[in-house]
Amino acid sequence: MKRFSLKYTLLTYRLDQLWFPLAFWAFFVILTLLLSNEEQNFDIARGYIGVAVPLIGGIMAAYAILDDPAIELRFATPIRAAQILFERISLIFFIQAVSALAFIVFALLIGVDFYPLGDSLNLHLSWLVPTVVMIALGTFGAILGAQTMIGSFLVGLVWIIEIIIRDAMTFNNWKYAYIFMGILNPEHPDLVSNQIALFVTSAAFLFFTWLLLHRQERYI
Amino acid sequence: MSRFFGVLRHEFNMSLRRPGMWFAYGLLFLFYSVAVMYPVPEEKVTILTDKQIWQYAGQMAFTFNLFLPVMVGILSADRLQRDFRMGVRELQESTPLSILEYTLGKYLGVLLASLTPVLIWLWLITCLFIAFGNAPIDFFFTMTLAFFAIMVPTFAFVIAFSLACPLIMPLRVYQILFTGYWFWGNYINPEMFPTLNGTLLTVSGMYVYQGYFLGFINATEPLTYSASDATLNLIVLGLCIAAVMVVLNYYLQWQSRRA
Repeated sequence: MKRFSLKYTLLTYRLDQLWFPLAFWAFFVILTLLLSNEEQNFDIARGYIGVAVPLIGGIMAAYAILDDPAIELRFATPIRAAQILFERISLIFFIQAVSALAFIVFALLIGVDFYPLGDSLNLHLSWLVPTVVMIALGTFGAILGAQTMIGSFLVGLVWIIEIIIRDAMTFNNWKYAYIFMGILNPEHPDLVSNQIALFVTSAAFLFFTWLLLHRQERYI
Repeated sequence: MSRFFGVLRHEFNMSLRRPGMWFAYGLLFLFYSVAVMYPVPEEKVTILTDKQIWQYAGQMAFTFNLFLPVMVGILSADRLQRDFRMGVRELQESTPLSILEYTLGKYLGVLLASLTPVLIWLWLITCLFIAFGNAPIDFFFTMTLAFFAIMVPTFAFVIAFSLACPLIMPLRVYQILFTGYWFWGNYINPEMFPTLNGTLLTVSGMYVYQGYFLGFINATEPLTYSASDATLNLIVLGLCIAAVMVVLNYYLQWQSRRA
């Protein structure tokens, strides 16, 4: 059954989930090469991996499950909710991860120094955490509202709010909900607790998504 | 004309009945209401003088323009595309409805449906602001003026692009590009990075805010934009909207001939 389901996922795969991240990746590569400024190269690199990749992942994830013309047929098959969730999200996460890693390799090749972001683990957590949170938020929003638009709206809104009021997000309890702390404020003393809180939040979003996916009549 | 008003009325009603829109507005209205009505502890309670209400009205409308257009842009992106996706457009083409009537009716329907809840909420919080004694009654009129001068052009611009662009690209791609554009094109410092911010194509309302409403109350630096800059900005945005609507009209005519 799993094999059938994976085949279905690949057959119904929307190609814009692939070409758009690739086009965006290429755009940032060209931008870096054009500007060719050491300080700006670092800003563009962290802007791409820690800010652009999560936005793309989040909005793509909002469409991952419900944007399927044969959703009724799919729900009629004995595929478990967890399996649907895993298949659809993991593919989106995989593409975003490849994009981020490829950009890091490119940035390292042209001499970008990621030292301000910390060691290798912190560098990868700085894009991994926001990407996972946004993917979980996009999926949860779409399933909660039974509309892809709700998921993309939530992702877009959270993204722009946190970018614009990023300085205010580092204070009080807001710091635990600050998605871009790892990439924009890597020196923050509460970075580890922020990352733990965000991972827990993502897990909670995915758990509730899984619960809501059992009520299949909401999405038909 | 009756057909045009029919499309407008139908789109207006349909847009207003979307639970997603109310959910989105609810979240943002709550956020803004708390921000406006409950200042942070170290801030003094705002009691506006007659001179300050003009600036404060502009400041509020400019602040609301930070996030509301993002929501409107994302949510209105499927309004035209869904007619194609669901096959409604084929049915409409078999009626005597002209493409111009359809496009304009759809556009104004979405625009009015997006603006109506904002205007009602704006009047409500303005009345509360006045009722709590924070501003004189004239604030109601200046706030309404700020809404029409700052928020309406932004919404009109954003909705025109949100209706047209998803016809030539996948919806999710447009939503990503639009969200990124909103930050890049309006809020990035032009001295730090190449951006549309600071040009006449700025949609955030900064030109009108500074040109007509004289900028922040406690601003120490001189204003960057004058009233004539603000007028030029509005003219450029109006031309952009007209251009998008004309292109959309031609695109739909081309689609119709091809079908």
